[in-house]
Amino acid sequence: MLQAQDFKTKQEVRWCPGCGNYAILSVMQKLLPKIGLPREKIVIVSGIGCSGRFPYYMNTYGFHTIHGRAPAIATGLKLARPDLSIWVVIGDGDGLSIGANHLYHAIRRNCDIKIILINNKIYGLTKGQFSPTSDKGLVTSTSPNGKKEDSANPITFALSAGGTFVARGIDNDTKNLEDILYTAAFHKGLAFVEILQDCHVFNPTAFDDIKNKRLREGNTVLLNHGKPLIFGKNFDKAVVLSDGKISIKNIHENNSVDLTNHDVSNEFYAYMLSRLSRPEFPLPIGIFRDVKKEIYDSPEIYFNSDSKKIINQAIATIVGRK
Amino acid sequence: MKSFKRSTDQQVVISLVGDSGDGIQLIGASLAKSAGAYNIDVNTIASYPAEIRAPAGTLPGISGFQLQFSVTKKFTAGDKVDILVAMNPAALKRGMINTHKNTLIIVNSDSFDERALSKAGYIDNPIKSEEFKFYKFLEIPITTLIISALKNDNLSYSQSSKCKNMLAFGVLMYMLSLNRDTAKKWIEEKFKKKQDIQQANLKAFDTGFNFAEISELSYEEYDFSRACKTSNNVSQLTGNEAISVACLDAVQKFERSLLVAGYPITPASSVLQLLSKFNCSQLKVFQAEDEIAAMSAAIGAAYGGSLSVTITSGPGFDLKAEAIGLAVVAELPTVVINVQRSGPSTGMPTKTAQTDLLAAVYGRHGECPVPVVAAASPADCYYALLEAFKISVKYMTPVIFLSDAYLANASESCSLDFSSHKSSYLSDLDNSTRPWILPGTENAEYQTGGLEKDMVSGQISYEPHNHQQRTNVRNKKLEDLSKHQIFKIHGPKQGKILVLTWGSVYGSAYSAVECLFKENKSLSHLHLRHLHPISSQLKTILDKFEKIIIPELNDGQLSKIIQAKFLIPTIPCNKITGQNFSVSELVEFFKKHLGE
Repeated sequence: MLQAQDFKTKQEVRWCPGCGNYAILSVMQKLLPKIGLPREKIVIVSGIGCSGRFPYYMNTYGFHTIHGRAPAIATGLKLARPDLSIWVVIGDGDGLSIGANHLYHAIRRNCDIKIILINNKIYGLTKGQFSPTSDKGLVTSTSPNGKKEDSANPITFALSAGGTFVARGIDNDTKNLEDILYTAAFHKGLAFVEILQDCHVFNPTAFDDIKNKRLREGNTVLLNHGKPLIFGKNFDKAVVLSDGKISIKNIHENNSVDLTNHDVSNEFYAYMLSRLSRPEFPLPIGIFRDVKKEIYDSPEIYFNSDSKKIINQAIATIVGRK
Repeated sequence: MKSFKRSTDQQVVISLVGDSGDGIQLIGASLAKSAGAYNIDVNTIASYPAEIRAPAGTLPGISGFQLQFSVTKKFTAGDKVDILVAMNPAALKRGMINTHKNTLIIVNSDSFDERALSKAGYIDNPIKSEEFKFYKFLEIPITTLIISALKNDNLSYSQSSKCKNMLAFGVLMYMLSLNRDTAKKWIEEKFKKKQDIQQANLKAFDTGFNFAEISELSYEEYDFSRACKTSNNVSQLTGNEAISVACLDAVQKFERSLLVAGYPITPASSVLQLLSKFNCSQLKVFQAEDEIAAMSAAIGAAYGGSLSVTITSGPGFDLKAEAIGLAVVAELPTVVINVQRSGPSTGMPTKTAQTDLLAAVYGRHGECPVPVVAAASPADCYYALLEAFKISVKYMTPVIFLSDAYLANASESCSLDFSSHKSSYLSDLDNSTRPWILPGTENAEYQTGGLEKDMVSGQISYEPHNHQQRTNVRNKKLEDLSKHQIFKIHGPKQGKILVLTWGSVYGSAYSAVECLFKENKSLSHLHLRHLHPISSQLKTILDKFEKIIIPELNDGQLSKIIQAKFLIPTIPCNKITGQNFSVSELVEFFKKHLGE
């Protein structure tokens, strides 16, 4: 069996010291041996940005493409080569600004590809301009008086495109991240995973309230299908859906609360969860939605057709017999 | 009416003009198909309004279709029209532009009421006016005839009225003495899905045919009945159809699957539409979310080892530029088809132009060499596109293929030679391209992309010397390619005038030169299929002529390239009207420079 080591390349990894991408890279290198595919069947496609360097550090086939277009390039590759396992690695500027159109339509089509959006809420490689996911008010080199726009929410975006697998992980919460990516790997259809990633250099405070295990206990809620949405150091709080509203309830022995169980098949509920944000709510981490739907250009649709014959007849039809 | 003696090169030019809802394109195509049972060379050109349905009866809503029938090979749909069919006054006004003094004008007399006349900007009925008295008019009450013929069919007025075109078709078939059964078979096939509509159209056709027979509308000069029966392998193809055939045939010839990626855009969409019908595991048609995605998907497919092509027009071509650069650096074979149209911006979407040549050759950032190939005629789209595929695979490079709205909408009688690539200059030469290693190949995993790579290791490299070397290697591909160009001159190898053309100007220029040969004039014609690179060898040919005339449907883009490359003067002959050159205007231009 392949080991994580087999997925490392000779390339010197050149992200800034302390970059969250190191953790993500390491999770990917540990994960891929577990999905049981030979290395040559795996392709990593990336766009432009810090995330774009990902393919160079993975000992698989890799294609570092252009800004925003990775989902479209991966779609073409999948159409040509349905036999490959294709992983797209993009950033927040890449995926939600210049390439939002491609990301939306790739998700909508439900191609059988996996898309990882590494979200550090900043333009890192161009040295610290605000990105669509930067928090409102963030002071950056291009928003000296604070970012004026509302921020984009990758999970809501993916759900609105009809994503059949939509999840969120955190770079240094490696155990949960690996579980999410493992499930994504086996999802039939497009799997979209947002990974919150700490950019120490240009956006060091973005994830202050979830940056370690202790903080995450109180400030995030783990989504487990069929399980109640409880969180807090002593699991004493719950996210509860009632009367069409989401609220936080304290759970203690003499207080009976109707707990809401997480359901990955409920689209509307997934949408509501996607709107939960800090500091009013704990940030949901895990799989928001996981459903089966028809795959775009599934190889099965060609099982009963003879390409050679179709092409022959097509030429005869067009050329006609005058 | 007076008759002309049948000449050995009998020919007739027919122009059909009507509202965009009148079914003009359909009877145009029907006529072309019906002529196919005979040994008649047919060239057609369609002209559409950009609007789907502009207000009926107005000039902007006019749809036209012109055909040239000839017993000898022709290269255009003709200049001046011998028979004009005008379905209403606006159509008459538009159609009159290309008439001559012996043009027979057939009008639907029912549509010449006051309102229709004023919509076309006529004050009085032109048919009755002094100005038009020299024309031969044939007034047929087409609407009255059709409504009366279909009165017992269970059809609404508008359904019946829609069959007007078939009535006109019937009249023309009789006039040209062509077999009515072939035409009826074609109508049956066309409307096979709707029995009642099929019957109505057949009836309309017969009504027209019989009306012409009873009215004795036979003219010897239009009689094609004695053109011999043709062999069975001649087709009538538009440029976009020929592109589609080349795509299909490429799958067979290269034994690779093909991804056709595109985004709807006039005048390229018909290729996507046509090929979508034949989607299969070896030929996938992908309608992308935008032009950039279509280009990107083509690159993705190429990375996976598939042939790929994206088809677009000017506005979409601009959008693809960045991705083309990626294909150059990553050395991936793909073909970008640009069916040019009049710009800038949205311009005139249904009208032709050759205004994207410089954009194709130079329109990218960085030193980004890309071979450019252009088709000369509708059928040549097949050969030239196959060659573009061949170049792309051989040199591991994107190739730009230029067609235009004229070629897309024109059709010619042709017999495609499937047995050969008709590649004019690709021999098996060594070149410094990388091998096409496909994902899935064991122990060959590699990472590529848009960043500059080291010559040897393939790792990312910003070394100054390496970048120079890589740039040289990319340029060398084109140099190698240019070494194998062969130039075929039509006419003497030296002399006063060389007419140098590219793309869809070929037909008019060839015809104009032929025309001048008949007048014993001396000039020569050279047509370029490969616009980038252009072999330095061309210089030795150009040097043998006093004047180089370059007719182009732009402001002199090939002229600029030739002037810059060879430091010689050229005489540009430019036209940007949305229409191709007529043969006569080129004849006139050439004559002027021959010193007459």
